[in-house]
Amino acid sequence: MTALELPSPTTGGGTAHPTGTVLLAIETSGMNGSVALCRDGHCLEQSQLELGRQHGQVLIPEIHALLKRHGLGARQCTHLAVSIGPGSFTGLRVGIVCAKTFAYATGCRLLAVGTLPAVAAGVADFYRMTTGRHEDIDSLVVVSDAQRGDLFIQRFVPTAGVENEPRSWQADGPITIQSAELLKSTLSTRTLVCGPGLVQHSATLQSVAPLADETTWHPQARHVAHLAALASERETPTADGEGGARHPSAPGVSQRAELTSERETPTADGEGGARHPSAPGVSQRAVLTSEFADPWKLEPLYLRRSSAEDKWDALGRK
Amino acid sequence: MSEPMPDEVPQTSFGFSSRAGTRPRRLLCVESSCDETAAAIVDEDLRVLSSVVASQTALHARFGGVVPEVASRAHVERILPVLDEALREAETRLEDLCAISVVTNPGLVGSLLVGLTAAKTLAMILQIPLIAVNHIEAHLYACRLHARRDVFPAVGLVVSGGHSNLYHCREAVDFELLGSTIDDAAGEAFDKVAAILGLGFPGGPAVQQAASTGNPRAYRFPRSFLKEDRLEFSFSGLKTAVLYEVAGKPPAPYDAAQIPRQRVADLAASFQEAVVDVLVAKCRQALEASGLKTLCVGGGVAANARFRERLDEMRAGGIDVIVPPLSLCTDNAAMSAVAWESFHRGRFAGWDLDVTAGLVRKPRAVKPR
Repeated sequence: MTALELPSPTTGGGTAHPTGTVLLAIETSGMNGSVALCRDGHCLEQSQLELGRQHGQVLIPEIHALLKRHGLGARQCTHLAVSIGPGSFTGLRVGIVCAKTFAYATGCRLLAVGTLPAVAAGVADFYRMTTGRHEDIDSLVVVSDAQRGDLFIQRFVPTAGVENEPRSWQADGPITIQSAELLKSTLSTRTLVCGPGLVQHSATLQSVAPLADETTWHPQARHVAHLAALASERETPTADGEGGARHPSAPGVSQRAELTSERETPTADGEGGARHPSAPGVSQRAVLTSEFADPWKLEPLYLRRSSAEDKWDALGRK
Repeated sequence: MSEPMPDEVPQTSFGFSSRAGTRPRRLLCVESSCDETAAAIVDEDLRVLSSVVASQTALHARFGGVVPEVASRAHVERILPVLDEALREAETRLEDLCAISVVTNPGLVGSLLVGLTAAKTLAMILQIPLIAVNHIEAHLYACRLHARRDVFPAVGLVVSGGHSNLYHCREAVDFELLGSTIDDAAGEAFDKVAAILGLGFPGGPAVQQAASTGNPRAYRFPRSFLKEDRLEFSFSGLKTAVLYEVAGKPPAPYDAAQIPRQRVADLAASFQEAVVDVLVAKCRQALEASGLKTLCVGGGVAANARFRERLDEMRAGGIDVIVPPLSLCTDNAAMSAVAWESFHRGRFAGWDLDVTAGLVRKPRAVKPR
């Protein structure tokens, strides 16, 4: 399996790789959905889903149009990256069901990317181009609305970068759920705050911490693609599935695919079987390695049960 | 339902030319409107090559009803295994399909979206037509599938957890809604009465089981609109009458486990008889009003044994009553074979197809007093 490299998702710069990788990325976790198409390390285009219409309605036509504009068919996609949340349950389900069905039908590799790390990647991307700002910032907090008055919160710290290298962010712990007021008490002027949760909570938080530029609040498919490419790069083509242990995922990329017992015998290279399934579903199951998500198991990162289940337990029933 | 095909899809590849002389073409049907994830392969001779249903009953049982968010999550988990199983059972590859149908209404929005997205994704990848299916039309098409002959025109009754609707079915995809329930659906009443009697979920089989040793004449429960011409149902009052019988009026707290077994059986039997009396009477009225001699019945409540007995009596009276076997009454994807009717009429959906959630009810005229 050849690694994908996406040096800069927005600029699309860098050396072209003669690898023949085509990566489609889907971001449907919130109101502002998007899809992105990358080829051999270049982000060819990011396309916004039409605002005001349901993701379930517009996602497929948008993917089709995007592929067509670049002379590609669905079966030419080698990788599919999808934003798995947290976010709108319904929006995430549309993106994820599309992604898993796409992977099932085409045999392409599936990569599950955390939505909050994708936002952090967008922040890094933005400030890479606006150097000199926020020099005193030592951490990033990404927030997303968790309903019922709460926020999903993930903290990020700068990666140990080389001097003059653009800074990126790595997750500093798991996602937590807190009220905006409680989060406020933990923030300082050295913490940059970003994320789609600012749409509802910017007024509460801006008095205590700097907010990131508003253009970076919402996750973008091109940043989902970027993180997926990083994860894919770390993947080593081992047949025994131990690659993941030696090469941990990129921040925010799920390692849900630790499912050796579910799989049939992995093939040595995986490619042939994956691209040309002999029977539905068989070969797709056989080629999963640790960096890739299993289309059979992939689901949104809900982080919360349904309110009906919570209420049920609150009543002390069993 | 009848949007033109997107121009991206090559019309020539699936035209309406005569069959190529090889085996009949195959359709994949996807259904996720409520709490069953289902897929089926049906060929154009209306042979069901596979029909897979993953039920969520166990997930919803403790809530006494279907919880939409729980249902949506389960659909996401099950959609691929169900699709795959349907293809395997039918020994069909994705490349063998000539079209994909998906139920887009009515139903729960979060549930419908899972099937819709999977179906659209497959249609895009395979470059084959997408067909939107109405879940209620599919329930009545189960009769056509079962009968293996033309059954329309007919009076259609769809009686389930969400609907109690009477239709004049001119043909397979041309229905006129004659009347519906003004409050609870019949299946919903079964669920609620089962809860009142402490019989568990789903209520249909539980009440039927309890009723099997009960006296249907032990309690005289109301039969709404029985003597009226209007083709409408109301089951809310019936459910409340059962509650008052059990808990008093106004209802006082009670322990369902303390109700004597025979009393539970008699209450269940009397309730069931009231529902069935009304269903049968309204079918007869609709047949008389329309002059039709054929009755098609679909939906989960059509699995009720007492209702089927009474339908047999109607059959003896000269009505051509068609009731599918149990597996085609409860939700399934095989009944979406109705998509073949759309296929042959060239009624395809665009890839921007969306779902229409909710329930189908006849708008009520405002009556002057």
